[in-house]
Amino acid sequence: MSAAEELRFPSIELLVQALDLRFGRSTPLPQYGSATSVRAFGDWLFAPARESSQSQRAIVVPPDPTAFLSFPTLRQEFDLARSPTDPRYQALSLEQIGAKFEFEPRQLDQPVYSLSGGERTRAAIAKASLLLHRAESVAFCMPTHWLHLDSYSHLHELFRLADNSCKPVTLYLLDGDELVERIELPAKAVTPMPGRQVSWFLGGPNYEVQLLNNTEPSSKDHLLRFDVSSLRNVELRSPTILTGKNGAGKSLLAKCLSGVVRTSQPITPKSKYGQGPSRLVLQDALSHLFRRPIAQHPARVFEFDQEGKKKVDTIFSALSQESRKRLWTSMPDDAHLVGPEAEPHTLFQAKLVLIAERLVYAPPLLILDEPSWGLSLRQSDALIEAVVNYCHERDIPIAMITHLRPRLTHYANSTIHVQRDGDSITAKILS
Amino acid sequence: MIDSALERRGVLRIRSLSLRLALLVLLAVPAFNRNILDTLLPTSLIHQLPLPLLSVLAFVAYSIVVYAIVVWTFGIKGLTQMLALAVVLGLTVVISMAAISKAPILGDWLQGSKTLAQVDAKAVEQFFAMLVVIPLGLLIIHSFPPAELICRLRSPTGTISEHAIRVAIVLRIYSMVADAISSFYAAWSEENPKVFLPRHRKDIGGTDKLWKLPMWFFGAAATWGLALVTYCIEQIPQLVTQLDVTLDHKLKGHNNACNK
Repeated sequence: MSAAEELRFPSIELLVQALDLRFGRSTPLPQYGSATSVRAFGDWLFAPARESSQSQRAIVVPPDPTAFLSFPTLRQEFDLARSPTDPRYQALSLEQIGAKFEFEPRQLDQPVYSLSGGERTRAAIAKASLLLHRAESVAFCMPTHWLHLDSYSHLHELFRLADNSCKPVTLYLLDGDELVERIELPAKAVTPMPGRQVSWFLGGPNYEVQLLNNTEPSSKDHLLRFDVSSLRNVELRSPTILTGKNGAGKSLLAKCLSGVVRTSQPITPKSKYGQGPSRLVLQDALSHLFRRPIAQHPARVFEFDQEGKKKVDTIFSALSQESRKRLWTSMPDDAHLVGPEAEPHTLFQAKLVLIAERLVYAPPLLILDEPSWGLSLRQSDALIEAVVNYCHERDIPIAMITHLRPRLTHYANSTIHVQRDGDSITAKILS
Repeated sequence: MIDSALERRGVLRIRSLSLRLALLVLLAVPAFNRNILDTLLPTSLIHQLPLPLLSVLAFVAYSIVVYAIVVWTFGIKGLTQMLALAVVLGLTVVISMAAISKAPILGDWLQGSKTLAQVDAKAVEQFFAMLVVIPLGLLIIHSFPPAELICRLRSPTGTISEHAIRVAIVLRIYSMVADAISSFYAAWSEENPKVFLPRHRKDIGGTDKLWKLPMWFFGAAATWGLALVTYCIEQIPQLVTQLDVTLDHKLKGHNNACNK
């Protein structure tokens, strides 16, 4: 770890600004909307051509590792990134390189978008290692936000290699990010509504999911089997944490519960608000905005439901205020980290507006996929506490997916562990 | 290197890109040449009973050849998917033409100097033509995967021209749309469980549906279009930089070729 210089930022917006200033890259955050993206692209296109400078020769893994992966499959990615003159990888086959970074041979031919966020980060580390031979420096952004603790060793290995080759590494982290295998956080209990318990149940039998494995017409579909028998008719207490390794199937389980992915048998959560599909905020939360500014989201979704639109504005405002209050209580200077009220544009506000939209009509279960992604520790705590508080006041159960269990353990009233063994995925309750 | 990167089936087995292109162009000539297609599928087909047997046999034989090459390359599943798309698009065209031809002003414009029966015959001809042209078009597109072209840029022999890199970037951006659709589709189907209906539609009722739902549909199409275009634009600077780092040791001339 000593090889890497660490830069810490209180929010992803400031981190991205610093990255752009340093490397001259244009990485507009999607929540700024299409206009900003097009303007940034124009700036990049018409900027004077840079000679081969440090910025051109640097490997920069941005906050979203997908943007670092340029080709449709890992096989192509590794094949092109590998240098024929690099002695470390020259003699290895692509399968061996994949195995070095915990990829099964079949994953090399899967489309990159079908890999989990953690797997994409591992792929980004692999690609950075392959390119290291030709680069002058490495900058890696927020690796802990995607990577499971068990995979940190790959990152350390990359830093070691860079150090041996005298290539500087800069880590762009958010406040509270720790790159150590075991995180010890102070025990903290969320007691928003003392004595108030919110529960939910999972109905339905075991089920199968047919996944489209590839976009190529000749590819074969993939069948996964979910075993949720141990959860059946067990009272699950909110907040429930869904945890497991990268690629274990946590997000897939959430998509099945929400009806986003069709299953062979219906599987739906049950709570005070009846039985039906849950509402989900995806890990890639910003794709929900469809590159529209945050303020336009409620108007678009509730175009034909004016009452709903009024409600979403009220909930958004309540959640913003509550988050601001919590940030101010922990550190008065941090209250601004929620974002400006007049013109919302932060990732924090993007998450709040998506959550508010889902709470307008109380769902049987609200699932947040990696709610702390892109947020500093204090931001993440403020957001989760505000949302859990709001939901529990209204008896809406909430489940949160995380690969970084220690960060959210103190919120868990129930924990579901998701484990994958080949084509079989098992979900079990942790005592 | 390319063998390791791509599983080769059907026309993809033809290593030479120019030979592959030549074969596909040859295959496409009857479908995309108006004169030949009119001979195979005369507009007056449905009014000539019995049907001109030779034309019909030639068209059926040609379709079988195209389908066989699609199956050879992408398997029976690939052909089924392509035919499903062709049928949906073909029916949309036929039904739209039939509806428009009967409308007061648009009908006159569509008909021109033709009779209504000729317009109907044309629609039927287009339907059958689309059953062949769409699988053939998709076969051509999928026969030149961007990844393979980019792999070839990094051939160990010879250097790379700036133009080749530009072509590679354009092709990769094109294929990126497929990645983006998948991620946006998950968000969309969460937002709207019935993909072609808004989740929240309390204010739509009775005759409102006639204009509010089409309005929503066009708004949704615009949202998707804008999101996809923006997504691709956002990726370009990063993609260019990545290709620059990956391929620069092969570049002819200067080392900033990708940038502009």
